[in-house]
Amino acid sequence: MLRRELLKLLGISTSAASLGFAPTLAIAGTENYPKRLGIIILEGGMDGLASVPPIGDKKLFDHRPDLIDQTMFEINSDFGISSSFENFYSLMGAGEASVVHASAFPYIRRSHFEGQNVIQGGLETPFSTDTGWLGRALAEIGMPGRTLSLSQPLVTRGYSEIETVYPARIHGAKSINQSALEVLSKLSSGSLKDSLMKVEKSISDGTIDLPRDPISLAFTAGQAMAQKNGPISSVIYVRGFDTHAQQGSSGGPHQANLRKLDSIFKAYKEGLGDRWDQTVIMTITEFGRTVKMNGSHGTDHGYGTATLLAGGLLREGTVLTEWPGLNNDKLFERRDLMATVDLRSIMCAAIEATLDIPHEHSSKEIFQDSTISNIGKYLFAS
Amino acid sequence: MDKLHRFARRVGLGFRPDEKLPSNPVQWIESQLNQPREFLGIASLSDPSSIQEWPAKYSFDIRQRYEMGFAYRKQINKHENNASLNAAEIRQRLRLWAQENLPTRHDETRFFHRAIYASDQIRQRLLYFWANHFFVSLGITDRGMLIADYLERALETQLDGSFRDLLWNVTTSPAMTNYLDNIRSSGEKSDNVKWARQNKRQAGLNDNLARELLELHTVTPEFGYTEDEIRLVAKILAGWGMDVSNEGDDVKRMTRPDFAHPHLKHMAEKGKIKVFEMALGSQFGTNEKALPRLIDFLANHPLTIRHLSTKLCQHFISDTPANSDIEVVQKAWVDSDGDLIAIHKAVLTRTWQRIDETVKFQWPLTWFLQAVRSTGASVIQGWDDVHTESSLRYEAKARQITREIGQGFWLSDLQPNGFSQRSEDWMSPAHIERRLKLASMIANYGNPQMRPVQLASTLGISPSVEEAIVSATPETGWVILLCSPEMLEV
Repeated sequence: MLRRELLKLLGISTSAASLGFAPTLAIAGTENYPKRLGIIILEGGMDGLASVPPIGDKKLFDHRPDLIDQTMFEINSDFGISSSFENFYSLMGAGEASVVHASAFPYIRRSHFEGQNVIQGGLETPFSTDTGWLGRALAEIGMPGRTLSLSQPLVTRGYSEIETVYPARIHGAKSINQSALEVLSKLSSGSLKDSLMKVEKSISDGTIDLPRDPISLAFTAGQAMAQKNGPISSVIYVRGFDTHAQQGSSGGPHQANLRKLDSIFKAYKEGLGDRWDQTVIMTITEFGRTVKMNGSHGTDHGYGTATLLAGGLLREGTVLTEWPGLNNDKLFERRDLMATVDLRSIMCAAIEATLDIPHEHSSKEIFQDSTISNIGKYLFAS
Repeated sequence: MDKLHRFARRVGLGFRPDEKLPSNPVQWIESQLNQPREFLGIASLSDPSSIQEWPAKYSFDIRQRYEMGFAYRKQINKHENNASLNAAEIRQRLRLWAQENLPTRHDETRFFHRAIYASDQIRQRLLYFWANHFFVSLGITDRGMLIADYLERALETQLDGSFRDLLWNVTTSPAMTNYLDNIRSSGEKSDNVKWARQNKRQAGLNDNLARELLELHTVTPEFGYTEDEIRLVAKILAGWGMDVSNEGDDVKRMTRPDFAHPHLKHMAEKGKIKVFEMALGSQFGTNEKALPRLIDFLANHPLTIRHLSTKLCQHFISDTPANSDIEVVQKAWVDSDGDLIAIHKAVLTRTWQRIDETVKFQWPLTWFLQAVRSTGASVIQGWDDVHTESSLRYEAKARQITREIGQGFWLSDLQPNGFSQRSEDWMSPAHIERRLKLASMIANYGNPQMRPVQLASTLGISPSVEEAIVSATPETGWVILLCSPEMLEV
């Protein structure tokens, strides 16, 4: 049984902690907001057991002998971490990165589309909201954010001061025809006008010419967030975690994705500079994957997974979990890692640590569920 | 914009400058639905006015694609067994080989050419709808060489038939069974699993296709199926499909596929399989007999009919269609027993009736194709340009456009639910920036066949836009016209 870093999450009463309600709505400029929150959306359902293998649970090796990374780093006798996480592992050593294992959004139907919708919308019922939890949180404090993707993801919807940056690369049209843009802004209305005006702004502030691979985007987002009046929050996508076939062990497509993710954390830190000390970067994914390998050297949609957090606001570098165990009778529906930590409680904690919205308020207003456990003190330095 | 031009853009790709306008829109729908397909294009951007039939040398059938897949797999094996190459070098060599020897680049070009030059514009839009509904994306192992076959054969040849046959064709198609891993799924009691056990290999069920068949393609989660039922459906699906890209160990065991009946016996589940017993009774049959029955059941299920009638209305009529719109399509569906021509006719006619009261913000892909088509511009390289270094000042490759706009059928980063149906997903500044730049590209390099003010007057664009165009330079005029609110939202 893994007892290290055991968290008695389920016993925490939501009314136990009493934090004053911050007067957030009154704040006008981002210069008053020193802290930053970065979200990395892992699309497809990341395999938490491959990323952060629970090596202290010997059942792991029975369930998926061909999916074990033979060159992983050991965090302690209970958990290893993928050899692709070289940078993240060293951040853990410095006390600037942690993993919350056996975590998941309380969603058990294993559909990508519903799953991505709930982890971004933040409500338990799929497709029940047109706005995202981060958008609602930023609207609450009146602070801008930035999305690094072609379309605005659901997670940041709900607040108009959020820009989407994903520079175009069209041969034969290096620059935008600004006279046309001016005329079109006048001729249009509604969300089209809104978008046209944001394009005008991105020309004047230079973001239109940025490089756009995820790692460069993370670096430039970090740089922008480092500025005194920069975006408070940013969102970046990493795709390709739906590893149904030929997932790989020490190499392969899953490891390649994890390497990319590791570089994104690194690029954020480099871009943020000193601002890193006041930052939280966290991953979210729609679900984990089956504990057993499937018929095609891959894994199917599951439930519990691992959530990765990094930044100077972390309390320490460790794996936090209430480990459910991998014996068949401990698995969710006898196939998936059980989730013992609600992803929403990590989201609430990150919102409180960076946006100063108290847990009681965000759980009730942003996630519409006041029973979400408050675990902030385990994750972040107070 | 004039009603007829709006309608052509709502349900089609708009009229080319030299195209004769139909006098009766309802008859036009009918003739478009029954018109033979047209594959027109240009050989080279150096001679853009010579529009011809696509040449046979760049049209490939499924057998040729299968042989190419086999050759590609041999290349993979050859390079992987070459100890002097590292992983990056192997990838690079395979990429170059694929570029030269696989048909994908020509396929993508052919798709864009047809959209720009052919007259069967409504048929093409219906194809986009269904290809987006039954979405497959660019695979890692097959390099997308099955996609054109999927669009032109598995999907489009069925648009004159029943939805049931379309569903059957899609579910057993090489592209879908590759994309959603069904060709890697074996029944638990199958010969393949027995063989794998004896040889210490891994084989078993993979439920990816089963899940999406229920959730996305037909009845939706509203049906209330269970995880066990998904697994039973996976057992029925195991063995179906055609493997053109399997890598590694299985090469030795490959058998030539039966193109008419893509069923791999050694992967099929043995014994009788029962699922949805309440509706189907217990005599469901063996894996090979069960799939046709399962497809019948799903294709004709009221939830499937409701789901797809709604989606068709959302696509053509309005993001938020009225119940009365949906009912028209549902009725046509039920009355015709799922005949796609009748269903399409119902939704398109209803769109015409409701054109004055509704607007739709155009998809990035349809907007771009309409912009090129209506200006008579030539921006997409010709079939002979695809593999040659061009001396032209500028040429657009279909692939680059697809990647830039984030929409199309040769993309790797979309999910099985395809490109979004909701306009808010393609209204971001990043999307709008692309439209502005593409409009500049068309103006500067496409050699439009008229001045912007002429097109504005042909289409009946509102005076405020026309005034702004008259006083602008040609490039500015084109960008204003092509990105004006009434061109984006028709």
